[in-house]
Amino acid sequence: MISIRALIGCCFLLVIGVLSLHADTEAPAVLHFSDGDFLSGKFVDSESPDTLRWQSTIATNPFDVRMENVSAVHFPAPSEQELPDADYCFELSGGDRLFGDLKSISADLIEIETPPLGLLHVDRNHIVRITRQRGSAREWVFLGPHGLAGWEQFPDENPWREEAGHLITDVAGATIRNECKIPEKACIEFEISWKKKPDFILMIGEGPKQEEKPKPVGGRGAVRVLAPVEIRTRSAPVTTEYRFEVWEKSLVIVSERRAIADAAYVTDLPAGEGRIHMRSYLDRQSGRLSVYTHDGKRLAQIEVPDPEEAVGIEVRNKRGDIRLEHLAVSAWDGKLPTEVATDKPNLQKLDGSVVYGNVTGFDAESNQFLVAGEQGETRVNAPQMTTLLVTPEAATYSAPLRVALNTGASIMGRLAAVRDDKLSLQRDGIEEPLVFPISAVRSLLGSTPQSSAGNNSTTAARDQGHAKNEEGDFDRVGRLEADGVRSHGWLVDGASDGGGSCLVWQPRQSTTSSPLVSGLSGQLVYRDPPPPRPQPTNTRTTRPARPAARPGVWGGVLDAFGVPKNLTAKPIPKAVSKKSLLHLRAGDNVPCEVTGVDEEGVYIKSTAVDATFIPHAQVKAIELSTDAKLPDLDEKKRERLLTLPRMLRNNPPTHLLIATNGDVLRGRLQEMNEQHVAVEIHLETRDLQREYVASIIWLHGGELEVSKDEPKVDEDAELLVQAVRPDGIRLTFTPHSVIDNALVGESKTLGACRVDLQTVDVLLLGDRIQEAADELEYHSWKLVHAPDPQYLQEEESGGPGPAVSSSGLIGNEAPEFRLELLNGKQFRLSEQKGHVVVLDFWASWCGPCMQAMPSVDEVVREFDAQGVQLVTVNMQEDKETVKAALERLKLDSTVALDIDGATAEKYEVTAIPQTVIIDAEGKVSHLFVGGGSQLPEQLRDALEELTNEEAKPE
Amino acid sequence: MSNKNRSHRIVRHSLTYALALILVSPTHAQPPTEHVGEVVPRDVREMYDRGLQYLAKTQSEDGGWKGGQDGPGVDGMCLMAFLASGEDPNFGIYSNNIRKALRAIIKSQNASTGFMTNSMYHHGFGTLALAEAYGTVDDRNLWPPGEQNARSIGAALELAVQCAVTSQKKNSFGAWRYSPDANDADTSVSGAVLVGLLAARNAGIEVPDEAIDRAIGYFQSMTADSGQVAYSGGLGGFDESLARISIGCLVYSIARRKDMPQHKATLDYLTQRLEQPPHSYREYTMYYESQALFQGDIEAWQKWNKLLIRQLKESQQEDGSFRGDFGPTVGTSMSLLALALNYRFLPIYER
Repeated sequence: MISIRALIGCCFLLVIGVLSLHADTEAPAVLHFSDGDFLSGKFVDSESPDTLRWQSTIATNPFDVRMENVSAVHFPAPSEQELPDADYCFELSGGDRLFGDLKSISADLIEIETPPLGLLHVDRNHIVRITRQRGSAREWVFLGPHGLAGWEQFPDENPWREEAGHLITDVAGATIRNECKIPEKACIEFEISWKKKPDFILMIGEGPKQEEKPKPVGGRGAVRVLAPVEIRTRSAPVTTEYRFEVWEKSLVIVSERRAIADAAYVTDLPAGEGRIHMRSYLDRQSGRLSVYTHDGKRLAQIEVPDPEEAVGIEVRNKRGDIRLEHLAVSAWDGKLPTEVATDKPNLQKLDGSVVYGNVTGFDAESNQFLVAGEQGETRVNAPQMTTLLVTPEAATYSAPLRVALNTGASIMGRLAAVRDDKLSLQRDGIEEPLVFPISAVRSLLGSTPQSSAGNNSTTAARDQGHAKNEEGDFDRVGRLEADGVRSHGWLVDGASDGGGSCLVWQPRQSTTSSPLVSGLSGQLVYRDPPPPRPQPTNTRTTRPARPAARPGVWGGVLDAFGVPKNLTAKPIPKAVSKKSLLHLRAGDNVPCEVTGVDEEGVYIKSTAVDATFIPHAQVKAIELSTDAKLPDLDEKKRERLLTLPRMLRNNPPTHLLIATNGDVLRGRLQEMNEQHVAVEIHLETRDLQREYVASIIWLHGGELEVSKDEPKVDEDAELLVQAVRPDGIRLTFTPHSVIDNALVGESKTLGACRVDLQTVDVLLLGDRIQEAADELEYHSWKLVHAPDPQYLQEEESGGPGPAVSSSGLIGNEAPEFRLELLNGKQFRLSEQKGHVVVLDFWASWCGPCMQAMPSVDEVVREFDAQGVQLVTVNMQEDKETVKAALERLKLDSTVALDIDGATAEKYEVTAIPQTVIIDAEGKVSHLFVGGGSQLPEQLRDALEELTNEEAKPE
Repeated sequence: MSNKNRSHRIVRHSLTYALALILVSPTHAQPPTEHVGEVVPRDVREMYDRGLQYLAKTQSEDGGWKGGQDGPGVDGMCLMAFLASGEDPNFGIYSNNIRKALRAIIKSQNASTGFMTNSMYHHGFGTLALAEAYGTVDDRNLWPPGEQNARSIGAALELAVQCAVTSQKKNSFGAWRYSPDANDADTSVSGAVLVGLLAARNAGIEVPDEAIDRAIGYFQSMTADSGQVAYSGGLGGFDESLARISIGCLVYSIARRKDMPQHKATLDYLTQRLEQPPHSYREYTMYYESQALFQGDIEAWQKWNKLLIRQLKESQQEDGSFRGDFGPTVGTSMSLLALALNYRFLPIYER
């Protein structure tokens, strides 16, 4: 029986990593907790009010979460914005908005038909306003925000956070941007609040680009100052923007163009906590921006004509705090709101007139509104109505939950139940329960969190890193990280039962716990790593160079068979102790004493593990001395050391031996005992004294091959964990149970394992283990193949083909030559001008030549009519040999006899077959070396190109 | 169990050399297998047995092997793999396989010309196999009564030698090519035939000196000063073939011409590149290189052999076979014969 006794250490180790979980086919929804944690997953049915039952992707069973702990649930955005298909937009108390058709209006209730909720009876005290939607050209471009999704943040450290869907920051300079398109005529409504100090910019369009040089204000345009603010005399770069900006205690609107700028005072902003809710109308054609309060009071207007396409809304916090609560961008029909009294119920008509009075009814049959005005009842045809102010002083309303739909509608309420993929909500002022299909929901937003004082007695203890369990003991709180998951919580006692792993996770926000899934890849961090230390080796500029001929340990060994060297130059340090550290390929680190190595593996004695033998396949390195360190090699040297020459592919070195003086030897470790190390170098075995070996790195053959296939994922495999302790010791094993804060399991390599969770910095889970191992220092020591020569690489990609030469001959006058032909005649190249000539250099002993010749002959024959001539140039063979070769090939090509090889030399023939094409002007146009299956095609293409050219009139 | 034994051995080893300083002479640390006549390492024996079992299993009813390359040369290679194992050829577990293979080879021989179809490659390897069997396999009851062409091994071998000599006489190079009537030659086919002739002569069959001398002359003419051996035609070619260099080196050794500069050149070429993988025809190269090194430089062979064993251990298939360019039969028999130098039972391996 082998067991691991986990030791407690007091220094802590770093583990950095990003985790991944097998991605599902569809992006899952993400549940965000108010404490910043998040869990990807989906809803499961729950009948208990104000409780979400959440099936996380990392757990087998759902977690129950109280609504007060939920900040948001975001669903993947639909690929296209759904536009509301409805007659009216109903604005409700608390900022809710529904789209639908009007059925009836009575003294108490307004009856509306709103998909997907159906027929609703709404208390008219909860309806602030009804506006015309259909036919109003009011096409929504942006409605939100519903959290940070879709926004880009600057600078990179994510200075913005979301709360109840709102975007919040108090970081100076924090900027957030949404690239929504601003229509030609646009209505932009926003609601912004702050706690301490308003100091922000809200920008419509695009700000100055960095490369563009700023230009001074001035020129032909006038600068109008409408309010007691001064325009700063600063440069005005080329932009398309309109800005709301806080100057001192005032909100102003500003726009600057090349030669024109305009600014206007909008309103004073109160000191301390405050809020603004405005609607602005932008006509890009005229450059006019008009600002109104959200209920229609005119505030300011500027005019900066420069009609360019504008994209994007950007919010920047300068030196205050800001909360963007609502932003709506829609197309606008170009009609500015009429000035109306906003404290009295009224009906605004299309023609701009206003009827003051309470709406008393809606005649669906005649499609008319009934308004009880001062002059009695007025009937208004529905299509004439633009805005109906129903309850100017609507009750303020808030609820624990806001549901934002894909259409842009949003409504608050209390969660009643989740059933059959439908969410059921109760809202004051609406009689019916509101039932949404989850597929229609974009976001579920929790209300602004209450004070962070927890209602759970263990909160304080949890913040200390421990949570009290049922037995009164404390479970250690960790942070579980995986793809789409960050969850604080703790492992509760559990054992493998077939469904999921034995690791049972209790998120701190949940009232229930669940086994983690077996296929999980991630990490459970109990203690964060310290920040990485600076790397002094990279910055060092001077370093004593090693002498070229080293009397080092290996130098001594290798020189022993040559000229004796003076070995007394520098004493070689010996290993300081026998304490060793065994590094496994999975990342495990085991302190031990290495008693030996043989063909099968490594023999160890360890107080940490009872395993005594580790097969080679599992081993990555052994440090044979406590002061062992990796050799300090420069990049080039290291690259050379880890490059496998082609000639050694049959016999790759399997080990790097690092001497106590830093020397490195590449070879094959054969045996090691207490005193000696036998290592094979170039098939010869050498014997080294072990005390001079500091560490040995294993170079595994499999590491050489770059796997093209995705590693197979065994879905049924049990979850593997790797415990990382503060002292750097790592153990990988399959856990079987968690008992009393200890993880118990078994390692295939090391045997039974038990790890006290109190002593662990990080638990790596699943595939994350190998990812983390790959980042360990020894694991980067891998052999790589020396690159293949060009011709071999070409063979691999698309079969053997001739090397299309970039020879210097190409484009130049073909070297003149005169040779005897096999038939006794003479051949002179210069006499061939006006014809394309193909020269094919060959010899009968050259297999590839003999293979290529018939096809070359055949291709050139195709161009007989164009006068292309083939001359095969035989290299230094006698006539008999040449004749025999032609007979064998059954060819009667023209053969020129290059008896002394002088012509081949002129044509720089270093490998045959070489095929040279000479154009009609006597210049070399193409040159192919090496024959192969692609030669005929390439030759044909080249000849076609040439002969076509020749056919062209001058 | 074996680990324990091994570690004991290391301990004894290290005690012996405990007095050595940092440096210990390499010979001291070499494995025990190196000494000529040492027992064959167990992993080699296991590998070999698994390979033979594959060949035994795939031998067809008529005694030959089908699939991939086939013919008397391939059958001869398999036959030699059985003969080289050291199992008694007449009464051992493979005696039936051996007799069946012999009958297949002899049956393929033309009774009048002696040619073993369908190329001189097959003829050469077939001749070699017959020569290795001659004198060791009791062929008195090789054939069932009434069998036509029921030649003895000796008769078949004599006939094969005659065919090769006749073919050579017609060849202006004094060597051989695929067809027995060819007038050109290459060093690959010629190596197969010449080794067959040399083995026949060693087995006591009369082979004219002139035939050997002419063939050796051909090889000399094909060997460059660098040690490279050309394929066909005149000297030259731009490629390096460890297989051809090994063939050259081997024929000089077996023909007892180690004094020739060409022998030294080819041997040096090989010993300087012990770790170099062949460009192509891996098993064919291993087959010749093992013998060339064994005959030429036993110490180099010992090193090379270690690498061979490691590589073959990795490439042996589950069924005991070795894949190769010419199918599993050729791949397996050639790989086994490369390993068989560890056994040294075949007469051709005598140094």
